Amino acid sequence: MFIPMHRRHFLASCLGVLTLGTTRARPLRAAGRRSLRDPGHPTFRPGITADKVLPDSDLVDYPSCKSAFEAVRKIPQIVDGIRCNCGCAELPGFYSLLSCYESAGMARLCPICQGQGRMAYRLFTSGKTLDEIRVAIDARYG
Amino acid sequence: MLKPRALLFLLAAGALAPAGLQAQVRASERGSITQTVDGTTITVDYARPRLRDRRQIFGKVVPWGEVWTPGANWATTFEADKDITVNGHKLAKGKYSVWMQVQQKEWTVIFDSTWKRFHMNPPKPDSSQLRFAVTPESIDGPDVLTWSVPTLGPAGMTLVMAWAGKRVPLTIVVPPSLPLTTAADIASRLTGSYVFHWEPSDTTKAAADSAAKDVSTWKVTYTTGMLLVDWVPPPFEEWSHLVLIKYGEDTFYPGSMLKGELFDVEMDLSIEFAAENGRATGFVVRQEDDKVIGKGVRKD
Repeated sequence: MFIPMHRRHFLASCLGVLTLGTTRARPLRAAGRRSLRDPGHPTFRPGITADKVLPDSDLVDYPSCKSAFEAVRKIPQIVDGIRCNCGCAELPGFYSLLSCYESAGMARLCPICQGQGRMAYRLFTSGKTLDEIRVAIDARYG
Repeated sequence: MLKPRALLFLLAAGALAPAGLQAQVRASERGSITQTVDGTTITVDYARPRLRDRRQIFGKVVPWGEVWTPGANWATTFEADKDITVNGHKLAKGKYSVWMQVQQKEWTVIFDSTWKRFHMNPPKPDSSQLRFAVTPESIDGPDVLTWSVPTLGPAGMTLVMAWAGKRVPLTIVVPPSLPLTTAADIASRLTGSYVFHWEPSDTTKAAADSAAKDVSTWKVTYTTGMLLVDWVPPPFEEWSHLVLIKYGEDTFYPGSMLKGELFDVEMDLSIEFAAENGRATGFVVRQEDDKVIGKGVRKD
């Protein structure tokens, strides 16, 4: 079936029409895909936990991101060793991709924060190491 | 003679004068053009002489044989932020002054690495320069010397200098930011036909039924080193023909092809093949947030 819709509109609406879901406008990227300072991936902090990751009660208005938060809660030590490529790294108080899921909760809206979190979990559960996950994330989002 | 206090006042007033008071009308106003193609940016900065009722520029105002900067005053500069080719000749990234030795038939274009030169100080021939011959085209006008980019492609552009009845087109090719080719051993695992359907984002039966009906076919072929997809029927005309651009292990960005040329890359989408016994069994299409939005299953 040919769908008479412009490709750009299709992408901008997160493929909502074809996937039969609700559409939500995507936020603008804060500063492109890679941090201007490009500091490399952070070293994960020993003993880091998911205690500060936003609870489901803070995600009621953002149902599509829930699975990304669930994934990150399961592997905080991995996510803490990954740089976010959406520009979050420029924000004060940012340490790692885990920071995107805490406090201000940028990952509630940002598809790159969500994508990196989901991808990290998907690769981790398929047996990839942190270094391999970093390489794959850089190839996709770097 | 001014008293010291009056002199100080005048100096201070001059320093505080608004910029508009310092503006100056020039016979050849400064202009510039910047164009980016596939991540490579080209900038030409130049002064723009006008004809001003002069009937003949080339062969008279600019005598035959003169090494002339296609501009005025300070030499026209050309800057590329990556290595490129100009009319097939390699030019390393950097900033250059541009010159043209004008002749009745064939001109010589010169890129000189000393970019800050006055027009009356053309460079002497030097082995570090890029020099090549061009044949200028005859046209009407323009009255004002103009550098422009009338044609753009996925791999480059045509940069044109035009003035006073002459037009010099320069073909610029930029380095590709993504490799369009895939190794034959990888491609052999992936070629074939796949049944594709979009994945519904909700789990209702109605959504699943609708998605199940909305199927299409991907025919993946390997031609001239590229993995190409014919999508029938396509969701959009622009996606009728795709090239799969490898960025990771069996992972690709879709590139839209038009008349055999790449014209857009959707880096927000990722196509990931799964293989068994050295042969792809299917693929998923992921959007930027890593959610799967479509699946393909091998048909043959």
